[in-house]
Amino acid sequence: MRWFDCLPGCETQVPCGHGMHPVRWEAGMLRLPQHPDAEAELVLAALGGEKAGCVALAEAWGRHASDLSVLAVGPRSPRDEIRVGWDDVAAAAQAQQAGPAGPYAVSAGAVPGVLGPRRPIRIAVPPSMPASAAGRWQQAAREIERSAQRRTDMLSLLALGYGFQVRLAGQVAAAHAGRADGHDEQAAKARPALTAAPALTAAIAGRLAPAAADWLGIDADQVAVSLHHGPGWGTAELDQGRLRVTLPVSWLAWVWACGLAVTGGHLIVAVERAGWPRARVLGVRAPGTEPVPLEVHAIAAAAGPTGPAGAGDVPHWKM
Amino acid sequence: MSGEGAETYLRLLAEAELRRAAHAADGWEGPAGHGEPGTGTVAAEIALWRIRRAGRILAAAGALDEESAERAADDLRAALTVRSRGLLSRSLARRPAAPPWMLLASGGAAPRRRAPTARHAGVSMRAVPVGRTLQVADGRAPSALHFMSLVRTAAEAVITVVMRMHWPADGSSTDLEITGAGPHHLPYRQLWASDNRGAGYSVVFDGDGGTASWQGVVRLSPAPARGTRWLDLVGDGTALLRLHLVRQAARQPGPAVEESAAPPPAERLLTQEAERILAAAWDARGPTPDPDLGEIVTVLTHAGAIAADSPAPGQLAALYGRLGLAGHGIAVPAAAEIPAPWASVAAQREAAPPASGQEVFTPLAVVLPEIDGARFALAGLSCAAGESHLHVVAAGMPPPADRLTHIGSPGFSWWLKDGAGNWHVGRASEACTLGDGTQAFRLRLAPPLAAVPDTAEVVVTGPATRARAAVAVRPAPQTSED
Ligand SMILES: [Zn+2]
Repeated sequence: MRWFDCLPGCETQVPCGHGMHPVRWEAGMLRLPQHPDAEAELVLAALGGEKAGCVALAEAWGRHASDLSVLAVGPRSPRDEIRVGWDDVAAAAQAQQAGPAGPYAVSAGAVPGVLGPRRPIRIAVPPSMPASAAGRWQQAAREIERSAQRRTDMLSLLALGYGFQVRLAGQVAAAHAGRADGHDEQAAKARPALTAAPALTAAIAGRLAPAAADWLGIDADQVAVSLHHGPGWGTAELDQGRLRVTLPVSWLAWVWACGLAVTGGHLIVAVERAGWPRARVLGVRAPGTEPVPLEVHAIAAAAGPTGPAGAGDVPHWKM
Repeated sequence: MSGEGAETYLRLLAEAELRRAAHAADGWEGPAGHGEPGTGTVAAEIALWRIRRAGRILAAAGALDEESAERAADDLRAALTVRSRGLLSRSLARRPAAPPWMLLASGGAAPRRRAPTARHAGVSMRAVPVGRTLQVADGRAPSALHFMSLVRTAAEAVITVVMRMHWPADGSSTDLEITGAGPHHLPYRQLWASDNRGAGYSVVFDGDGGTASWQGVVRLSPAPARGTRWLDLVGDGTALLRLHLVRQAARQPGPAVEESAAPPPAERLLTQEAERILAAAWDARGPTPDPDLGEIVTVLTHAGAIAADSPAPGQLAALYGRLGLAGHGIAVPAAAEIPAPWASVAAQREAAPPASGQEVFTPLAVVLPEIDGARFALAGLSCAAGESHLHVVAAGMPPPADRLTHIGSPGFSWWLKDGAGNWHVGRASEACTLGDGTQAFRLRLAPPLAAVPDTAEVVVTGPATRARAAVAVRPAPQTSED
């Protein structure tokens, strides 16, 4: 049983060369139907050939498959619309080609050889810098380059639409879940070094809050979230109008990313048998009560006129 | 507390701000076809500003490293940007730059920590009392130059000095008086020093002052070699004054110093505000409340950087009340009591001001043991023109620029208890920074000393350590004129 077993495949069109190509997500994998041998294309690109848009996108997907910023930036609910289109991606890519800006860009070629064929990054080393600073400023140049790449990556991943955004978020959460939830014993021993906990807590809080607001009709600001570790699903208690919830990181992948957060009037807290279009989940009817097993089934939901593009790619569920 | 708790608080706050901005921005955009920012853009800027401020407060309190704070703000900025066409267009019009924490970092991507530097650890620092006065009988700007103590580090040497102006009472020098006290009134075209071996030294003044007195240091370069017995101050070729450098060197024993742990940095942020407001209570303009204080207290307590039962916020609220200041915004009730040193300073303000016109320029030569990586030489205590100053030379302190951020980490704080048991808070002047990082500055005491004590208790609090030193103020009689 895998976290994405409750998700059907989905597809969208992306700019590639002079046209548009389909990109497909299926069973946790991104597939490029027009590029059956993407690896060979990558080798050619490394030798100086042009990289196909689809291939660049798949690379970006891979680079960010465990990037917590995906959770910080991506959608919190189907109503939370991200307004990035392929024109924005093109604009970002163009800016990336133009080189860096900011306080560094003063004198040409002060730190040579940082960038390849494009315009050299221009770095001005302040006169008061100690000798050891040159390396630091080179590092800054690389950081600018990474930062630009990151922006282009993130925009192109968002331009794929809601269905893909949610699936990527699920993948990122799943990548962190074993360690954060204490199931991975090796990693659990390393917990003191776990620095992802704040971002993961916020990722759950930001997504649970609108769902719980729908569930109980309370203000989203009245939802307090902390991470659940170890066995069991967590807790959900109402305390003077404030909903206090502990959930494991895996909830983001197994439940939220699959569109299950609130189903049939229950807050879904875990998946017992994953599947599409039928699954068995654990749902809490009201805060403070024990979860009960529920048989649920997916219903086809077309993207409405108000929902974001791709909203129909995440299933709606009924009891 | 762990940085993880503070970062979780900050990121949860960012989630709430993102929701609020999206809600406020019913339509993230401005009117179509207009370049003005829409309500969404404004809401986004406010959200981002709040997170940056909270991050800075937590970083200043040592609860979170600056890099984590910046990353949380960067994530929120990205989240806001991709939800707003206006912000997205603006962002795309800019070329990518290095993330701000790269610019902040002093060592590559490493977070800038306020941990004490060990640069000057073990640095030798010697202080010698000088205690000589040069009367400058210039007709229009008569003054006295009081040389107090020489402080020498490995590469630098300074003499602490106060220049006391004696402006003519008939107002005939008003044109000079309005330029303030200071060495620019000295009637010498050239001033230098020479030692007992005939070596010459350039002499540079650095300091600040008001109309009647100027406090600072005379910097000697090169630094006199060890074993230099005396320096002659020479003005336009004429020897003006001999400064003996060894005569009393052995007489002043090191002070008795008692060390303890400093309060946690988050509480020290609040203590520092108390010290600021107490010092300002002795200014002509009087104290003004810090408009950010309520927010600072809220962020620190909600993030767990200050314990829920910490007395510090309530004590600060009580101090504001005691000084008759409203509008501090601290959301906890005022404490019944405030710390004794605060109460002492407040009580002296309520009492009639001391009428003592006694002016003293006492050479001190007390080098404190290392405190959190910094060495301090107490190099003079002066009372003149209604102000009292403790003159300090420091090695190993963070550079001044580091302390000028909007919400700075608490640096060192200084208190002095006089012979009568009254406390005085020291407010540091701008420091003069020498080539090897040595800094010379004055602590203006609030309130000024009513009388010069025989011994004073000096309390220095650094990032981790508090040191209490019993300092003999008059260990030796003043030297007589040669
Ligand atoms: Zn393609």
